[in-house]
Amino acid sequence: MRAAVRELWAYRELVRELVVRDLKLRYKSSILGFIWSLLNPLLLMVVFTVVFTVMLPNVSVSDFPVFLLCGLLPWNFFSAAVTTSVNSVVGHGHLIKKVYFPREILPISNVLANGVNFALSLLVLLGAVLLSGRPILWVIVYLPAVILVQTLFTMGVAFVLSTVNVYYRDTSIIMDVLMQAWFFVTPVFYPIELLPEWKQLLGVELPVRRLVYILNPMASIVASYRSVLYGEVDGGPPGAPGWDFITRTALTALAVCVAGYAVFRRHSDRFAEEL
Amino acid sequence: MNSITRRHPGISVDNVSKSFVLHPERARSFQTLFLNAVRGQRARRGDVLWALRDVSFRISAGEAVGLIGLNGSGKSTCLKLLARIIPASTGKVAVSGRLSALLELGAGFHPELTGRENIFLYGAVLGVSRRDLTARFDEIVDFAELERFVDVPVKFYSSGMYVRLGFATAISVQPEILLIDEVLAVGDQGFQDKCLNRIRAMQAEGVTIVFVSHDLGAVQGLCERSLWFDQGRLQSDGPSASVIGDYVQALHDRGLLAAAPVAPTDSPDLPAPEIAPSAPPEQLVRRRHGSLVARIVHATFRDAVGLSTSCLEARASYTLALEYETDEEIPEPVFGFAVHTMSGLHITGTNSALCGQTLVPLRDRGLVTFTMPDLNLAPGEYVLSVALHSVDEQQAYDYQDHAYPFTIKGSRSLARGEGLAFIPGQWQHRPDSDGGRVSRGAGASR
Repeated sequence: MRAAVRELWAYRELVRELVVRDLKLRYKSSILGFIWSLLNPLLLMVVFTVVFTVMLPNVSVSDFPVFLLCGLLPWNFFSAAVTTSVNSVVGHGHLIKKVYFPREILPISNVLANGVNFALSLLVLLGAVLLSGRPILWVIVYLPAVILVQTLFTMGVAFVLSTVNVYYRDTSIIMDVLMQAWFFVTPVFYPIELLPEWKQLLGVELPVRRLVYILNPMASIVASYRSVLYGEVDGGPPGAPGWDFITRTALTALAVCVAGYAVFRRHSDRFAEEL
Repeated sequence: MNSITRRHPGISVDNVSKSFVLHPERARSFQTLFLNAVRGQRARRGDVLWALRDVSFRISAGEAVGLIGLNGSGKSTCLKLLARIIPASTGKVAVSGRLSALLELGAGFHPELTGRENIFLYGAVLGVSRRDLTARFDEIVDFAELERFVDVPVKFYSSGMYVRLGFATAISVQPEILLIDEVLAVGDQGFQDKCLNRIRAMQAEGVTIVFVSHDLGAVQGLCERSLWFDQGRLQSDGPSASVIGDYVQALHDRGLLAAAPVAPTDSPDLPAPEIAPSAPPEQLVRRRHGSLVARIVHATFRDAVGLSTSCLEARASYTLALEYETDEEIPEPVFGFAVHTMSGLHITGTNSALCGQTLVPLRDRGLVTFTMPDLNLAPGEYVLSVALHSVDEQQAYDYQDHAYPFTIKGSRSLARGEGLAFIPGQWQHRPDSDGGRVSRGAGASR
């Protein structure tokens, strides 16, 4: 494992080249180019804001656009990174069969390219925060840590899915549906407070809210973005992420990343034969 | 050759075997996986194919080694093991030194990116730092002859330009070990020669070379040592001349050089040879490529009275007649031909440009001839390739590879010599009556 990481470091230039390539290709021969990275979240924000303040006006969240962007942008990063990474190995079959390089570079650079795009879209979010008149407090220094935790978690998922897709090509189709479901169980466009604290299901009392947090690291990650950039639904100021984020979610993300990497490495030297 | 290189062998392969599982009904989707589970079937184990069995060899730094054998004999698998693309099933492969594998030129290129962007991307895939690439950038572009096109997306490149850029980038790694798999078979003759010259120069600088090719002549020209693979086993390891000799002999013995079926051709308008003495073996696949804007519609040997024949007398006078037709005016045409033995050895070949002749532009149709006063080939069976391209070799109009088999009649030996060709010359003998003085006169006189 240590040798593998050292080799990965030796190939860091390739990671950079692939990230640059991804970003170049994303907006090649589009008229607005990288402006889409900013325009896309703005348009999505308009759609969701219209839906939840005009069409379904029963959600009482102050500064709904900001609240929404805090969840939607990280979610889009996660969702785009995962759905494209599923094909990152299979899609580079021609290369894998002809040249040696550490194969994990493919999902890694894919996630990082989406991360760069996410970082750009954060500019829109900061603009929205300023416009809304909410304060930007010192707790924003936690933001890089939250991004890092999300990136680690995303990479872990990407490692596993890109490996599985080599053997079973319907992984990417299943993931389309799964990501949709995941989107709804993550408090992206609704506050977690909307969920009941407890719910009886088949005679068992379930702590629904806690379960969402425990079973879904993305819920906890989205909540952390909100706590750092947005604050409270009732208009309260931003604060540091809860300690359970730092311990439980960060450790979960790290564990998922390491385990995913181990799974990937176990299979990666046979990719050239299986593709 | 010095003691340092000897202590650090470039490549060592110890008792290596490689098996592939052939999946006849390999579950590729969850559906089949699920159905198999419901039916209580375990995934059927496929047949095992041993691509390599118990192979051991060592290659020291600075050696050039050819890997030869039929298709499926394991030589390409061996190269992939050395390149770390696939792992060995058992045994140990150890490679020390910076390695570059030319398994496919330009494999890492992205069609939407420009030549410049692709150089940096592909270079990074091969493990070269951006700084080194920047330093060698002009050299790469210069070798690929792409100065004018470096900022054009490679999807607009011709296949020749693509391959040139791939080769130039791949060797910019400055490898200590170079693995080459048949890649030079693509690209025109001029580029192949340029690549081979570059490879020879690298060899002279001490780069270790492992070369897989069906072109036995090229193997013999480049490599002092050859490994012959047969059905996954290392059949023979030794000096190229004797290993290749044994290999060709074995092919003869198995009848592979005599009676293989005619290779199917996908170009229906290719004229059939008038006499087909024997079909070429697999490495001499009859192939037609090029734009066919201008075409060679007929290629024949004509004897002194002008009759076409594919059964020729050794040492007699013949004319190679190439009839062409063209859809548009071709300003600077070059006609060429090549002769191979049935075992794939490239005997000879030339074209009008190499002979220093400029042909007038082609219009509609016509005839180009090459007169051979003394057809200097030994009796035997050969195959002729013909080509029509532009003088800068950017335009390939019509390449007909290994399309016309022909026979040289006569006894098994040359009328006045042995081997495949006869070099005209005069013998002289001037005895040295003094005993001590060595006469140099005979050698210097022509």
